[in-house]
Amino acid sequence: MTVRKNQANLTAAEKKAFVDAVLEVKRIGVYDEFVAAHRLRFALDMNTGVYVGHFGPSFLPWHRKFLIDFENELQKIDASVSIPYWDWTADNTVASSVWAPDLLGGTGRPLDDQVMDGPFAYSAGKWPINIQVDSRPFLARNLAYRVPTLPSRAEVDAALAIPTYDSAPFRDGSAGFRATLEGSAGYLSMHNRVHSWVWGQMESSVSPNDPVFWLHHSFVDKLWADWHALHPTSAEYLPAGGTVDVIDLNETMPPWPNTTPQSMLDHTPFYTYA
Amino acid sequence: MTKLTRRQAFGTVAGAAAGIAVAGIAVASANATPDKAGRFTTAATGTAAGTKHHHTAVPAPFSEVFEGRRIQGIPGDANAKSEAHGQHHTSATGYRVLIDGRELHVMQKPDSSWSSVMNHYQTFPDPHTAARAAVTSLMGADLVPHTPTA
Ligand SMILES: [Cu+2]
Ligand SMILES: [Cu+2]
Repeated sequence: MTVRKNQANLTAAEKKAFVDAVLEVKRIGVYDEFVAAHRLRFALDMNTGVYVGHFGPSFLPWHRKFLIDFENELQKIDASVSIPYWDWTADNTVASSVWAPDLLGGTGRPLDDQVMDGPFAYSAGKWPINIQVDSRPFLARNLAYRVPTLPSRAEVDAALAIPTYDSAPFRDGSAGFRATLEGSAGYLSMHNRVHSWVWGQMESSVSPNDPVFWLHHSFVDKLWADWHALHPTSAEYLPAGGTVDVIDLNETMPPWPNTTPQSMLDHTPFYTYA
Repeated sequence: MTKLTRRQAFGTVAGAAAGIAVAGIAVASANATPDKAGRFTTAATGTAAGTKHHHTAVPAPFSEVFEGRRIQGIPGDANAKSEAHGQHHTSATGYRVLIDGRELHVMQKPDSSWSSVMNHYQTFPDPHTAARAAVTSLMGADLVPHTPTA
């Protein structure tokens, strides 16, 4: 059974197993297919006005399925591996263990934002950036540059307290838990703020180029599970049906032919959180 | 059935990837025909011309040197056919932004704010602000063609 753990609690051996599996998925070319799939989905969400992966209620189930698929690829390499989560409300500085050389490496150098340490540094030779929107072949970060602070626990708790999953018009700025957590209801807030705090590729449409993408979205996914536990009588997902340009509860989410929000509501058949 | 129109536009893409898992979408789109690329842009045009999104007027053009880079904003025709722009993936309004002559893909969100592929998790009041932010993010690097469906 897959158990996703807080990255702060991983043993040295668990960190190494995770890093090695990610590097191997990269080496065989599968990793970049995930980056390309995310870039495509983001472009479609932005340009077609049909909100599947972002800006709508299926933001959470879409990324849940995206992470499950990625975790499956990791487990083909090493069955013991799961995606850790990064609680950015607690480990909220550049000195956090998530940025240490034995996990993701640290911030970029001033010259060009290039990450210089850890297993994903360009100089280590195993992490070329192939799916890009600019010409930089290296992983880039500038932690805490664009926004100095990460979302606080109080902000997260305020979002978790919202009893309604999502509401009309089911997009940017909608009232409810989903838009608040996604950060599309306010400027540089919550999930969006974390992307901008990391900077580099994490700020762009090719954000999965930075492995912290998975740890960030694993925590966002855990917060969705936490929200559900806090509001057992709330509708688990909205809208239930008949909504233009939005994925309803029982509609399939591209690119998967058979995945609906309904099929993603219960994460426990796939993994649990420790 | 009208609610399905835009979904059908990309549902075909998803259908092509069916059974290949999420990674298959990259494979499917790598085999995209010009028709498929055109459909992508046509869908974007449909958004601008549709009745759901009330975009504000097209922003003014601009041209300046910002942090050593030439940035330009070129208003387009919201109802222009994709063919008029060749392979350019313009925003829903047809507005184009260039950095040193290379296209920065920008898009207008439903609340009328703007975003770009370089700064996707922020929104900006106009394309000019988005272009300046992208220059800062690039750290001297160049943009590469943005062809997520190609
Ligand atoms: Cu995403
Ligand atoms: Cu994200």
